[in-house]
Amino acid sequence: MNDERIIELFFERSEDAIKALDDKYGKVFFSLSFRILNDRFEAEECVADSYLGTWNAIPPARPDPLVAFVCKIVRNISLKRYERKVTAKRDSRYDVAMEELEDCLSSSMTVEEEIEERELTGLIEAFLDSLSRENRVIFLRRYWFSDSYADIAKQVGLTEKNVSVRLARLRKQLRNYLSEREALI
Amino acid sequence: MTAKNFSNALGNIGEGYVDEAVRYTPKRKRSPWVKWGSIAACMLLILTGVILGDLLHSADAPNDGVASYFVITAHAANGESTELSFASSSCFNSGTAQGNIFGVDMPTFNFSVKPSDLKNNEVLYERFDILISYNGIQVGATDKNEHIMVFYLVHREPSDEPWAWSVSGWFTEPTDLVVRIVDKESRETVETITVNVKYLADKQEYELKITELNTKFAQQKRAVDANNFLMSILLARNGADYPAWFGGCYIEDDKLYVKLVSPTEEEFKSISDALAYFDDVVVFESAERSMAELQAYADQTAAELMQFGYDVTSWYVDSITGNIVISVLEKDLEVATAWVTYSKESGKDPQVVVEIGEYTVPDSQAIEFCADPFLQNNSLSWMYSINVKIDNEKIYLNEILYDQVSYIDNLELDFSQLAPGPYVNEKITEVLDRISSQKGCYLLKTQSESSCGKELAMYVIDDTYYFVRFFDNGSIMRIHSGSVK
Repeated sequence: MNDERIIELFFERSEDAIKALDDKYGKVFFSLSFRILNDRFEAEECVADSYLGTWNAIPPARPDPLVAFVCKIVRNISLKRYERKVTAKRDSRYDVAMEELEDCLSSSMTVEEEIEERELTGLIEAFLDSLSRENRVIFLRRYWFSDSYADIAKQVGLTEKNVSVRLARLRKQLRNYLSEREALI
Repeated sequence: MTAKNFSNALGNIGEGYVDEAVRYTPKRKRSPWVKWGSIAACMLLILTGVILGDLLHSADAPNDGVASYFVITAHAANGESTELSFASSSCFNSGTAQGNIFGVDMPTFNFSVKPSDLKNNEVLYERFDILISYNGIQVGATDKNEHIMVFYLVHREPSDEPWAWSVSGWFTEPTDLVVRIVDKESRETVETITVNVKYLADKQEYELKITELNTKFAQQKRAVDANNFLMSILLARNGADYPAWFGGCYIEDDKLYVKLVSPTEEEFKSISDALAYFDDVVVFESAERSMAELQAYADQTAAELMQFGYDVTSWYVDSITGNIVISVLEKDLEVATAWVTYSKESGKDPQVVVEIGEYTVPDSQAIEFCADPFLQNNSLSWMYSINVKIDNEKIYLNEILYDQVSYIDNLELDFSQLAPGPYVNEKITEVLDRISSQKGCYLLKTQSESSCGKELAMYVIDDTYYFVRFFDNGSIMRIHSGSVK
């Protein structure tokens, strides 16, 4: 079933919409949530919550692309749940991915004023635009979806080692990019 | 800033980025097979000579009276195709597309494809003598009716973004292409079709007509797939260099023949295991020399011939025979052949065949060309020709009118970004010195969109013309040269 038809089902308030959405993209949403939470049960709950969120959002929203719209909901809900359950044990892939970014972003100096999140989003988008399509996908698969190197390698058709090297370069590129724009001190 | 701040901001990026990451499928790697095919195609393109006398008289030139044939060459070696963007979202019908080839923007193309009831399917290529790129486009300049470019646009699903499939080739006549329709789910071949393509010069449009349904190319396709797979393996394992055990490969009688040069047991097992899926179409055979060795020898021999002043037009390794084939202008055939024959120290050297590399275009004023010197920016990887025509004292480059011709005294050029390489020799260095020492040059300009750029510098030095092409930022892209006869 195509996305437009699924959205129509949401507009018709048909519960088949959830089933169709789950059939088509359920695995994407689950793996996204699982990589953040590292807990199968909680990931399933988050996906279910996300479907409810989607149900409430459509209508009036008519998202295009649908999958990205729901992915964002899944990610937000999963991250909120993650915040709540954070313990001393840091073991999810999200943690590992974020640790990589900490090394890239933080410095010994303190930032006087944090850059506005919205501005930062704009900077990130501009940074993403400056990348090749393949690098952009690699970056997002790692830091938006928290994919493992192996998963990314499989998706983009590179070796794991290659993905690792690319990501290291991209982090360096990101750091330079943000530094040049004074988003980092 | 913490990673969490960053993550939060990252979470708010546009949905288009997320969608792209979800749906992304890797591009098929461009294999050296295709690369060399591309080079061969480009070689066919390298051409063109015209009479410049009228221009020179009209352009207030100090070299008054120099008027004769001259030759344009263009260069490249390899490269990646890039994304195709669309001015039209229509699927598999007709519209306009803007292509970008190997980083070089191409003119807008009109296209028409009939019938239109093939949407919702993928279209795959079949013929291995056609250059093709996946989800992108790979084309070159066209010259009258000699070269034809075609491409297809399809939707995989109505909700998906348009997918572009391109097929490009260089043909002297309207040509049949074969494409394959694949079921989205099962990946099984539903049907193959033959499409006749031709370039409609008056409309500047490529016409595609489906002429025949058939299924006879499946085996060929499998051999091509095996070839592409092999090349992707070599690329992944060895990068741009061929491994020592690889002696080349070629397709004949719907089989892929892979030449092996004394591979170790481990190497043979590795490659035969990797190609096991294609074992019905792959044939291994032994070879004496590796492809890496042959290519290096070919480069060196061509460079030496150039240094001796022979006009070399192209060179390549013939994968089937293992011979090195060097093309020269007809005037140099005899002496170049003699030089190649006598310069061989022993029978241990690869066989070098010298051919005539003169290409002429019917009804054009082109007579011959040479590929020396090779000079272009490091970032470029593909040959590009200029088709020059003078008509009624007006100059056209690739069919675009350059209507502003002026002579300027002081144009500063920075050659530092031009690529060094096996072809850079004393002669090329001398060329750069000669251009640098010139007091002035012609500046050709156009307001139209041109693949040659809107501005070129043209130098007339003794018996040679040099066209200097620029990137938008003013740095030099490449230099074309042609000898005045």
